[in-house]
Amino acid sequence: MKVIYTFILTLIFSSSLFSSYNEYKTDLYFVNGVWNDKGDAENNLIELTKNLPLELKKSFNSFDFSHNWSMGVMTDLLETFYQLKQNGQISDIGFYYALYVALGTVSVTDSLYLLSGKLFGDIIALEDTIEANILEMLNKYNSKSYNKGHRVLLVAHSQGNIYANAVYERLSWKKNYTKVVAIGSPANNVAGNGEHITLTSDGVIKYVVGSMNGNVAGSGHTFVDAYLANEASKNAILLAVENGKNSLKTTSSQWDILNNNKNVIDCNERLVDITHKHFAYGDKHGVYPFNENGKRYDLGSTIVMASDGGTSKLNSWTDKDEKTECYKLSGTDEIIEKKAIDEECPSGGVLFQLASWEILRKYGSTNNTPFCRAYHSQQVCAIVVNRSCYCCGSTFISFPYQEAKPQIYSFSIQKSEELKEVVNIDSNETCTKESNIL
Amino acid sequence: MKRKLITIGLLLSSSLVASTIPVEIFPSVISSEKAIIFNNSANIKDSGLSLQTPVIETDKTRAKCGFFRRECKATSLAPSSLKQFTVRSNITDEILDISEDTVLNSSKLPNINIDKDNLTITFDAQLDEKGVERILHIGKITDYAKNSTYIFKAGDYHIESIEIDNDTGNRKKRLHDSVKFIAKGNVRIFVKDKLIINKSSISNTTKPAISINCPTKQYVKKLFGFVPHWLYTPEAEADPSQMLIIAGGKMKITTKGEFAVNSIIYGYNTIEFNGMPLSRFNGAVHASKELYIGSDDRRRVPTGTFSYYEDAIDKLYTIDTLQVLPPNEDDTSTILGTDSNRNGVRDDVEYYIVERYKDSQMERAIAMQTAKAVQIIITKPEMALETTELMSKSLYCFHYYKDKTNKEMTYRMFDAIYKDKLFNTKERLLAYFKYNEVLSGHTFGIRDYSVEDCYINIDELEN
Repeated sequence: MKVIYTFILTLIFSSSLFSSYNEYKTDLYFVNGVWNDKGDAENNLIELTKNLPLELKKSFNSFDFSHNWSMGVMTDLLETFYQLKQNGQISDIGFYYALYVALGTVSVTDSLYLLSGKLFGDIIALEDTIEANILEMLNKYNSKSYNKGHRVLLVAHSQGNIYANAVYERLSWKKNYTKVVAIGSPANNVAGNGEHITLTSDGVIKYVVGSMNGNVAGSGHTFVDAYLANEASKNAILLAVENGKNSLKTTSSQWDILNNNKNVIDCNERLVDITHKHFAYGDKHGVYPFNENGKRYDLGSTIVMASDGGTSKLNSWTDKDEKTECYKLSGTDEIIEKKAIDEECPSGGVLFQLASWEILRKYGSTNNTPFCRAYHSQQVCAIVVNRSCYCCGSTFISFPYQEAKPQIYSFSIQKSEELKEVVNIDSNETCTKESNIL
Repeated sequence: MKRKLITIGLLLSSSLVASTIPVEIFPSVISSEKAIIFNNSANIKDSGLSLQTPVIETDKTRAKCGFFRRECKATSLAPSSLKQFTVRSNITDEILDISEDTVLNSSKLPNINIDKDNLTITFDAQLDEKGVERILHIGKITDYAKNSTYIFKAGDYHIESIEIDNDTGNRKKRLHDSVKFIAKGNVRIFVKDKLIINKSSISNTTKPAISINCPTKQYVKKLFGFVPHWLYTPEAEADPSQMLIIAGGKMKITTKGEFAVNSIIYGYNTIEFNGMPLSRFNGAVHASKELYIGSDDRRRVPTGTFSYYEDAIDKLYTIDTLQVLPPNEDDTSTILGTDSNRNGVRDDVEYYIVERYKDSQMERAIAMQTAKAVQIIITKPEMALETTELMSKSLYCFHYYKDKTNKEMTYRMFDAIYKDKLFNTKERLLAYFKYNEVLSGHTFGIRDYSVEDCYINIDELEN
């Protein structure tokens, strides 16, 4: 069963997980309080984003909110409300008006004291009721953010903080890529040592035993009407969001480069394999290492390790140095280089590359040591480096692929009108010269 | 009765072409932008001495205005032109022949031909998928049969043309022939082209030959076998605002018997009323071109009585243009309550919205959008994941409005008081709780918003 489970996990991971991968992206999630209906939570996040400075807002990849609603708490409250109403302790006001009064948007009146007391009690007792929501949130954060390499900033308000803390505790290695900003929190800490903003006269939190002390002057508890409407707390929130974002920015890549073949003269050999630091099934091959200290992101089907901002991998560009440069990343101008081999060419010769070495190898080297020679002026001017064969001349030569038995391949090397040579490559993967054929 | 000018700010739902030019006109009894032509006399009640028209033309007979029945005069101020409505009828070659009593409730109907006498055709406009409009698109309606009854259930009916005409020259057929339009709830009939209702028969004196939105019970009494004028009851018992008729082409309501009309009528072409002296019109009518009262044939008998029904005009509000305010009543025994005009909003909530947001057409539009969404989400709270986008759209529309009008951050419409109005019973609250419970644990994104999120283009509203 464990095998099947692992297999399914692998499948899920390998198929969906790394699509549109980008370690530079940060997703912001707003986590609301338990009495907020979905419209309230949505409105809270819209107002938060409206207040973010434009540059900061643009630096986030997405804004989402996790809706948390406790049917149990709310129906209990509803019962209490109707009970109070029946007893004549609440008259001529509706449930929502009473709820918002009790939440401390305005002073809690005697008639609403019982309702508010019930509410605060439910806040503290909430920890038993949120398991399902926590799992849902984890699933969503995984599929939408972590599995795509994104970092996560949780901005939690009221009991949303209890959810945020609980989610954070279950993140294991993902904690390194997560920050929490706590607003009006009834909890006694902020997960991951995140910042908290609590009004000194928060109508709800001040009654919650063990909660963190208020640190910004003001009253009220609701997110928009109290925390964003108060200039000091609004600025504190925006600063905390910015700090959280900047803190996440300093995280290192989740990927290690396995083989960095810097000393190859074949551009294809410059591609590397990478492996996920925390996840065993996450190896990726054929990655373009534009910046070894950069992070991973995908450009369509091309995977790069690079600085932020790359838009596409270029194979050719103006002023490219063919001897030393392989690929360029537009957007960052980072270049993948190769080893220059000019120094190995005899005087007067020009090196060129025989492509498709793989074809030769296909025809069966006996010892897996590909070998090729080409002759020029009675001197060996071609060399074999790794699996590439370089000869003097100016013509690019490619071997035709043939399914037939190994045979002699003929090709010409032409540097100038005076020099015409033919090099034969036999099934033993050696290059021999037949003079005066052409 | 004072003359009344009503500002008609924007007119109707997304179906209507709106312009930014405010229109300041609503018919006061009868009005025309060209001329009102009296081919014989008429009794114009409740209009003072003046009619809203630049010209009054009369032949030998004279129309009388007001309580003292003095000669009518034209106003010095000509009425403005009306808003233009876009009629989305169904243009097709298909013909549906109706030969038995029928209920038609699809969203689109072909041309309809009534080819049998004494039929009842019921039109039942259905709410669209979004729950925004209750609308039925129809092709041409032709009816040369006798005694047809048309029942319109609450909603909007967009019709290519209507021709109900028994003037075939067959005298036998012309006897005791009538036609009825009955409104079940608030009905608006938009006719793209002509609207001809001609019953040239001599009608049974106990009922009008042409009856538009009249009570079903007879209110013309006989005494010793005839109908004395003093026993005739001209006041309508039906509310004219229940049936609004808007026609782009010529409109004719003509009969050699009586017509009885309780309606508010807009015409973008000529309008003609012609009937016998006991005919009565109750409501309001406005023609962009000439308005004829009485035909120019050899008859010179009075045409009838025209009464202005001010209460009906007062009940119109401009949220959806020319919508009628429903009664402030709530059936709290059910979750959905009463929606008498079937526009997707509970009657008491609609009444509340119009009262609370009476100074802002935009806020009325947004509040109505929210109320419509709420009716849907509490109907099937278990479908919350499918229906919640409706609530989001109303919120986005609200934020578009807030940005547009620079409202303070803390300003909101879907506030505690509005919620308490919407969810004013325990059952409604629990349904709303259930909706939230289904959504709980899920994560939702937010997106950029635009006027497209508003059911009604609030950019085209005045305030």
